[in-house]
Amino acid sequence: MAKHRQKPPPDDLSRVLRTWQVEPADDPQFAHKVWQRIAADARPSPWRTWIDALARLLAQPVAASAAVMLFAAVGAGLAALQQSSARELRLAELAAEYARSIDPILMHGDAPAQVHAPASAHAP
Amino acid sequence: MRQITIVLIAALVSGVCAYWLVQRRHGASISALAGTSGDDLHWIRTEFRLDDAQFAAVKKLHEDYSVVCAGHCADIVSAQMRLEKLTTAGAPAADLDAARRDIAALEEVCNTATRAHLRRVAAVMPAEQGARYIALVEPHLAHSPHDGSRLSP
Repeated sequence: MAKHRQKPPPDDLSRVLRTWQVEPADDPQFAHKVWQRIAADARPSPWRTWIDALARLLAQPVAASAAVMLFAAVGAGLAALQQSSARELRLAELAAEYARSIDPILMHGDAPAQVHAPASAHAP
Repeated sequence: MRQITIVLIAALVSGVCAYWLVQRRHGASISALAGTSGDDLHWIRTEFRLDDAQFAAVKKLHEDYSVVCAGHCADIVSAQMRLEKLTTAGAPAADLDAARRDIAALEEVCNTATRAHLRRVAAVMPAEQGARYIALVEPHLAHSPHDGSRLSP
């Protein structure tokens, strides 16, 4: 226990700290900056601003109807595009099938190994 | 906030419904293209908007040409079999070349006849549809021209 009561050896850091004096420079903008930071924290986030604007807009019946119609048009347009390419594909398949039915060269190919009986190849 | 949710849900539902309706309508039109009667030419009637008389004429041409086509097919098949026999028998190169020339000549005759048939069928259709018919079918033929020298109805 006696050991703990012993005085610590002289410390350079303590001595330096005792001599250290802080003299902060006056900042005339200090109060203004503080208020700016308070205002920035109180300001809503950009997405929240957008949501609020959208909500205000969609609260109007005309805008709400327009949004519904826009989505319907986009849905119909996407489906039409998709179906248009599907139709083109089907049409090409039918045309190829038809071409095979009127073109003897396509019916059996050029190679003798691919030849089959002509009677079976010519169903009108 | 509740209102915006309702409007957005309504908009999404309307978009999905519109998509589904258009898909269904076009899907039916694609199915109708080929027809369900087993008629191979039905799609031509639908696609090129042929009336009964035009379709009957196209059908008649097709049936008539089937006979011609069968003849060409038989000629080409026998020529190819001849070449095969010559090859198997180890015939001289000159004979093989002659057989190959025969096949090429028969194919040329067949090619010309098929294109003439296309032209006749297109002539039965309204001009614009006839051009569409040729533009659609011709590229699928063997030896289809790729030099822009398309047939005209």
